[in-house]
Order: sequence, then C-alpha cells, then structure tokens
Amino acid sequence: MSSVPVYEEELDGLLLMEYEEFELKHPSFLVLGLPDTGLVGVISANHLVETLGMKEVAGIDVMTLMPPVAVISKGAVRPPLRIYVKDNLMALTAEAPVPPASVHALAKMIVDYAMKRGVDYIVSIVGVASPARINIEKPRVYWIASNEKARKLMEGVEAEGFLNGYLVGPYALILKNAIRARVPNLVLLADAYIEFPDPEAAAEVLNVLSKITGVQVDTKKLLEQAEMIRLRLRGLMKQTKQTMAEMGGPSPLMYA
Amino acid sequence: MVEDVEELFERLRRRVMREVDRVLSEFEALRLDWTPDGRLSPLYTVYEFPDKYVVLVDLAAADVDSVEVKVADDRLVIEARLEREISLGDLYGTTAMRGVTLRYYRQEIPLPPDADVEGMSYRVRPDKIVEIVIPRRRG
Repeated sequence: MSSVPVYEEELDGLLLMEYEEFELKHPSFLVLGLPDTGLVGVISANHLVETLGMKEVAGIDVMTLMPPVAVISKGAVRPPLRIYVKDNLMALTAEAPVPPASVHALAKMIVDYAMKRGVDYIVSIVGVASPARINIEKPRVYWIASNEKARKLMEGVEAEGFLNGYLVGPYALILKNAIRARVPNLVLLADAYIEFPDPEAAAEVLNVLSKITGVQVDTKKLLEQAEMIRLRLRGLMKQTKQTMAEMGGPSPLMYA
Repeated sequence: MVEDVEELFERLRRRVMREVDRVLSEFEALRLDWTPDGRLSPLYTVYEFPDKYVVLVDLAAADVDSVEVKVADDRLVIEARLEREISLGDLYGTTAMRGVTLRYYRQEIPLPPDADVEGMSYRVRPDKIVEIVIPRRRG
C-alpha cells in the first residue's frame, strides 16, 4: 500500500483514493459492508477480505467525520472506508458508521465509482431488524433487485424476495441511485439482531453470495470466531446504533 | 377527572423517561465500555411490551455457568465471567492496550417503576444472548 494515491476524487467532503492500479475480472461484484442493523454487512465483507486474502487497493475518507479520527493501522493512516480487490470481487468495509450528513454523497460516490470501474453488480449486505431473532436458529435471507439483470442473479438461489418493508440509510440511497444509473444492485438482507453484531446472519448471507458469485466462501471460521467478532465489534455497534437513530432508522423500543 | 390527571402524569412520566434515556444513551456512547480492572459493559436492549419488559444482553464469550441476573434496589444487575481472560490489545490487534485484560461482564440497567421484579425470569440462549422477561404491574 503506497502512501501516495495513484488516483483521487473528491465529492462533498468525501475523498476517494486508489493506492495502485488494478484490474477487475468479469462478471465483477462490488460487495458493500456498511455499518447497519446487526453489522451484517461489515462482518460479511470483513470475512470475505480475510478468507479470500483480498488486497486493499483503495479507500474513502470522510473529511467531515465526527469525532475527528485518524485510524492508524500497520503504521499508516487508513481511511474509515476501505476497498479490497481479488479477481472478480471488490469489497468495501467500514470502520466507522457513515455520518448522516455524508450519506447522500457516499451513495452517489459508490454508484459512480462502480460505473467507472465497470462493476457488473453492486451487492449490498444488510441485516433486517427482526424482533423475533432470538427465537430464530437459522436466519433467513431475503433479496431486493434494482432491475432485471440483478434479479436474474437470484434464479435458482434459495432466498425470499423482500416484498414489503423499508430500507433506511446508505443502502436505501445506493439502491435508488443504482436504479437511476441502471447499475444492477442486489440487496441481500438477513434476519438479524438489531443492536448486536450478528455473525450468524452474516454467514447465511455469505452462503447466498457464494452461489451468486461462484466464489466459494467458507463460513466455518466465521462461526467459530463468532463470539470474538461480537466482542470486538461492540464499539462499532454502539456508534452505529447512535447513527441509525439519528437517521430515524429502526430504534430500540425503549420505554416507547 | 382523576383518571385524566393520572393519564396526564403517565404521559409526562414517559416523556421524561424518553428524554432521560436519550441523554443517557448519548453519554453511554462517549463512555469507555471497559475498565482497567477488566470489567466489560455488554451490549443490551430493553423492549417494552404492554404487559412486560424484555431485556436482551449480548454476553459473547462469557462462561454461561457464571451468568447472574439479580435486582438491586431499582436496578437490574447482570454479571458473568468471561470464558477466559482476553487482552484488549489482542482483541483489537493493537499494541496500545496490551496492559488491559478483560475478565468479566457487568451491567446495571435502571428499572421502570412498574417493573414487577417478583415475576422476573431469564434464560441464556445457546448463542449467549440472555433474555430477561419482567412483567409489568397493572394500574
């Protein structure tokens, strides 16, 4: 990872940097792991990066991030949103929730970037707040497709279409932008604890993702490490809960 | 008329509680969720139903046999030892917090006035999420 980006672009306080040249194989998938319900996206994307040994090639910095934080990792400053690549997969993971003020710009930046890089499909991973999650042993996976091409991905895959409900936050805007830009966007949702990191939900989504992309992702290690992942992600979960509340997302029914 | 006043009071009480919760939760986010002596605050959620409160607590990596749920004054107290001691530095892969070792969970949760603690029950799910059910008193 070089410290001087080979490419940069800025949009409303967001800075996208590529650290090196890279090529994506096709059909290519951009998998999004943004902090949301149960951190299902973050856990899924992190697991992809680790098990597939994906390479960090780019990142997005939120210059208006509050509190102002510089994440130091392996001795270098790294942005809170990181982009990794391997063969036909690109994964975006996040170390901090997206501030509500940056959600619009980020959604635009991600869809524009996907088009620029010739990404064939954007796959958003998110938890669906399930009040009965505690009684569900195997979280179910649902999907939303932005268009026919995205819908075709789900043919022969065991998952339910998500017919009624709502998405709040960055994924909602990414979906709308993708529809407008005619970029196929598939949203994969899994039953999840609203406010606890949910590696089991992530494992179910990854099983579906394996079928769609043809890239086998072993989730055994993810389930083995589930408790440590939950422990490690407590802080991010708390921040995410706060951010979700600010965006008016599903909130705890505390003394409602 | 009396009922109206009571209703008004109840509404006001709820509003105050909500406001207090909001302020507290903002504080909560700023506060460290571990202490140098190895205490860890677990993630938890309180759900309110018409007839009961349900509290979920995430006790990842806890020793299930050591889970204790009790009531002290008007607070719910949840405690559990971790299966093994975990260094904060190892957990986050950083050198900065190597000196801190996590040993146990402890969380106090204030109980609403209509919580009927006599009827409280709890179970620890296989995924180490504790579900605590507290009935609400009527009237």
